[in-house]
Amino acid sequence: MNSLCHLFFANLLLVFGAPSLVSPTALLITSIAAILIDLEHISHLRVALKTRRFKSETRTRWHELTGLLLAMSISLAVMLFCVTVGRLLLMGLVSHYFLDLLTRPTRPLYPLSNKVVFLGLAPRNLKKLTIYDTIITVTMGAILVVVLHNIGFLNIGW
Amino acid sequence: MQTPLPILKHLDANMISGLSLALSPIAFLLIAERAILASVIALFFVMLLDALDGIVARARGQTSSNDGWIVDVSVDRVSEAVVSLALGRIFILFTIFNMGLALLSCHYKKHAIIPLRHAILVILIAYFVLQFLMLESQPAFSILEQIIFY
Repeated sequence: MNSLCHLFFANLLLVFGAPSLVSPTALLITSIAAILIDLEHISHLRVALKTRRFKSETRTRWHELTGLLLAMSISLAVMLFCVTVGRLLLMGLVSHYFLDLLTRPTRPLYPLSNKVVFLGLAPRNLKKLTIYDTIITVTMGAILVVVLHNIGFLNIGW
Repeated sequence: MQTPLPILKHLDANMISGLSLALSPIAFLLIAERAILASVIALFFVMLLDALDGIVARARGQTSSNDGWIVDVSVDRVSEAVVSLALGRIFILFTIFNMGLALLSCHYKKHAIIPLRHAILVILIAYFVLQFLMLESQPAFSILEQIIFY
């Protein structure tokens, strides 16, 4: 999924799943955690601009189950010092792996297995995928804006 | 191979696994809201769909058990991770342990997994029963509450 969608989804999990934790700082921490893993795509940006997509081969072990194991371990370690920050990190990081496995071809057990897994809940065709991504991202963004507005974090004059 | 339900042949096993995974955030939100009965039902459906994908794969003659296992194990581990977001640290620890077991299983070609979602389901049912019987004052209830929630 695109980074914006990851950011919206992680924050939706936060505002609906742990509303007591919501604050501008919490939203920021969750957002950073949600898009942090995508930084590894930067090295493959040139190829992706040509093919207009990041292939599953561009994902290292840190973008798969091994990465989720490490991300959850780090979050749990952070929880020993600050439960709130640990939970926010966990929400951002887990939501990223969840969305990627759900909508993109991935290699979950890489490097132990190169088997590509695609769950078929998103189109493979690039044009259809762009439309699908846009609809999901805009919907999630709109819901997040409305919820944040209702709880007083966005002061939009409507 | 004769299948008891011919309709299963028209379904895609990976898509069913995907639907099972897609339902996991609903279970997370319901647990977080402490809607215990609803979360038990949601978790039951997550596990039901998870069980159905294997039946569908066999009905469609998709016999590569290793490929199916990889889909199954990855979906299960991520689903557990999502559900554990609403639960106490002990469940997060078990999820991490289970993920390690999954990777070791792949490496050693010997399958060993803790049925964590089954355990969560049983604990949630026990919590619901105690709540239903209005036994909130019992020590068992407060122990369960401390285990399940933050």
